[in-house]
Amino acid sequence: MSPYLKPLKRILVVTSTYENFSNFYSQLLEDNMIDLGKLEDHYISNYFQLLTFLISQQTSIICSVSHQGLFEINETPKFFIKSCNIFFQKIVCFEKPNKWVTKNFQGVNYIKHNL
Amino acid sequence: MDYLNFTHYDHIKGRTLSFLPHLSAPTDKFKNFLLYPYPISYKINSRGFRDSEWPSDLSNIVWCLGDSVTLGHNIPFEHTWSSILQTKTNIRCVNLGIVGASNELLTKMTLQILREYSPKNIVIMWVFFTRRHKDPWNFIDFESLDDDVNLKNFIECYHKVNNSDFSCNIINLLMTDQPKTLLPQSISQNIFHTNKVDYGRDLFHFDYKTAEIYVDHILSKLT
Repeated sequence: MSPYLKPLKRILVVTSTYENFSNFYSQLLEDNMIDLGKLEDHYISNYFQLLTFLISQQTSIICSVSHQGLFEINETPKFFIKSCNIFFQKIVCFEKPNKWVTKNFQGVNYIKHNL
Repeated sequence: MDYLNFTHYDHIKGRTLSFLPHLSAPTDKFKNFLLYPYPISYKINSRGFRDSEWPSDLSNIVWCLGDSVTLGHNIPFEHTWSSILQTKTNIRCVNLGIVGASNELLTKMTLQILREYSPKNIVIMWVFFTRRHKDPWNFIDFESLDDDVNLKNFIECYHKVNNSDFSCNIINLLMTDQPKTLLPQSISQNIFHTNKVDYGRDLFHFDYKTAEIYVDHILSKLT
């Protein structure tokens, strides 16, 4: 580990809607659960845009994608999902275990959260 | 020609470098790019170098010259050998790394520093012998000349810098992957070289562990 810099913590939050993530983020801040640093949340239906965004935001720790947004991706989502699995050290979903999310993302952690 | 203000040249000033990997890049490189664990940003000072602004007092600084390895392409600035040297010495180390710099360009930059700033310490990380240029801002990488010609060109550059009339402690480094064994003994014993022990985000430029090896050598030579 570098003695000069702290490594990044990258977390992908998959939610059903963008609004859900906003609530989740607020709760994280209140609970001081995670050192968020700079948070950038995005709802982007085009996965190339999102991928470019992720790479450009090297300092961002958390990025959200909407469950619904993922469904709406017209281009093949396999590359995007594979990239997310590589890029993020942790992928969380605060809803109840979701078959589609579990199937497509590796090692998803589910967080109980009352909206 | 002013070699320490390269942003004054429009064709350089206007260029932008793309640090995004091509989406069809080989999987290992792409994975490494995505997984690289440290934040990387490129902040360029008013002279066009990847560094903060130069201090007003330049009497006690270490001048660090080289190419993209010195600039720290695809690694955080904090992992560059000039930054690590600055951290360990608490002496301002100015990074003059230029992507694609040739040994001839480094020579001309060094001579300008010697003439204009009366430096105490200059550290040069010499680059690929095959990298030459016809004029300082028209970079030609890997010109297909005879190896002997390329080596001779490097040796000329080395002597111009190290045998100049200026009084300065010049520390010579040779970039990784260079055939040090080809050099005459008089030069090879005065030029430090090591192999890469780690890689940056692009799996080409070295990272802080290799930089630390170079820095340890520099520390033993600083005056």
